[in-house]
Amino acid sequence: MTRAGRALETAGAWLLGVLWVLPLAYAFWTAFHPSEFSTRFVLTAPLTLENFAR
Amino acid sequence: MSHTWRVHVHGWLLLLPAAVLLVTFTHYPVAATIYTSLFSTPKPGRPSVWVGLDNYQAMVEDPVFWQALGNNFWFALGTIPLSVALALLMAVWVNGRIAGRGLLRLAFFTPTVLPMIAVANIWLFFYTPGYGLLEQFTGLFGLPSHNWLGSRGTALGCLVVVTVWKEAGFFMIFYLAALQSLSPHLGEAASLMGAGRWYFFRRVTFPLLMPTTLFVLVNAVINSFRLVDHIVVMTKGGPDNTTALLLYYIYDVGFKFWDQAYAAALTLVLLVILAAVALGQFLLLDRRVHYQ
Repeated sequence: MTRAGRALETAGAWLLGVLWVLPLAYAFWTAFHPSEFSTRFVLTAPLTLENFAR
Repeated sequence: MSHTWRVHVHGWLLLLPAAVLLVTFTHYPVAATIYTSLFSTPKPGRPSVWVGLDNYQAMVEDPVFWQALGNNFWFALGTIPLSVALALLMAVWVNGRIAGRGLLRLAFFTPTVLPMIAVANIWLFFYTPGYGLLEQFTGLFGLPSHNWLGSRGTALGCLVVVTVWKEAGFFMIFYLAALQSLSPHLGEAASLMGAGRWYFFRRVTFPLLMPTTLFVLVNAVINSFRLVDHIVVMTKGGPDNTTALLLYYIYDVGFKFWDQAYAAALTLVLLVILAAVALGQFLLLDRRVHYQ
C-alpha cells in the first residue's frame, strides 16, 4: 500500500471516528455549559455545574 | 439405589436449574402468549372468553398492523446493511496499524454502552426543528427549516441514522475479535504470492468472517424488530404511524389500549417472523459459511 493510500485510510478512519464521537461531545459540552449555549457553539462560553446541581 | 439410577438423578439435578429458568422465562411466556391470544381481553364486568382466531382475523384487517410491518421492513432494510458494512469497515480499520487505534476503538464502541433513552434524548435535540443542531448546520447552507422527526418523509430515516450509530460499534467488536483470530500467516502467504490488499480481503478475509457475519446478521435482524425506546422518546410512533415499528405497536396495544389479547396475537406473529427470518438466514447463508 502506498503512503498516500495509507494516509487517506487513516484520515477516513479518523473522520468517521470524529463523526461517531460528535453526539457525545455535544452532550458533554451542554452538560457543562449554561442552557443558552446548548444550541450554539461559543468557545468562550462559561463553564458551569448548574446542570448537575439542578 | 443402583449406580445407573444415581447417575441419572445426578444428571437431572445438574440440569434442573437451567431447565427451570428456561421454562419459566422462555417456554412459559410463549405458551401463555399463545393461550392469551385465543381469548378476549378481560374487562370490568366482562370476563375473558374463548374467541378462537378472532384476534388474528382482526390483525389481518388492521391497517396500522400492516403499516407497522411495512415500516419495520424499511427500517430493517435501512439499518442492517449499513450497520453491518460500517462495522466491518471499522473493524478492518482498527485492526490494522493505524495511528490512534485505541482512541478510534473507543470512539466507535462508546455509543453501544450508552443507555438507549440517553441516546434518544441527545439525538432528539439534534433533530429539534427551529434551533436543533441539524437545523443550524443546514441553515449555514441557506437551506429552509425542516421538521425532521415531524415529517412523514424523514422521520423513519432519522431513526435509522440513530440506530446505525448505536449498533455499528457493537457489531464491530465481533468482527474485530474474528479478525484477530485469523492467522497472520495467511496475509504473509498472500503477499508473497503477490495478492493485493483488496483481493486478499475479498478472497480470504471476508469468507473466513462469514460465521461472524451470519451471527451479526441474525442479531441485526432481531434488533431491528425490537426497537421501542428510541421511538417512545423521539416520535411516539408518529407522524401518522410513520415510525410505528411492530414492537412499538405491540407496546401501544398492550399498555396504552390495554388490549392484551390482541397484543398477544401480535407478539406471536412477531415471534414467527423472527424465527422464520433467523431460520432462513441459517439455511441460506450456512452454505457460504466457512468455519475453518
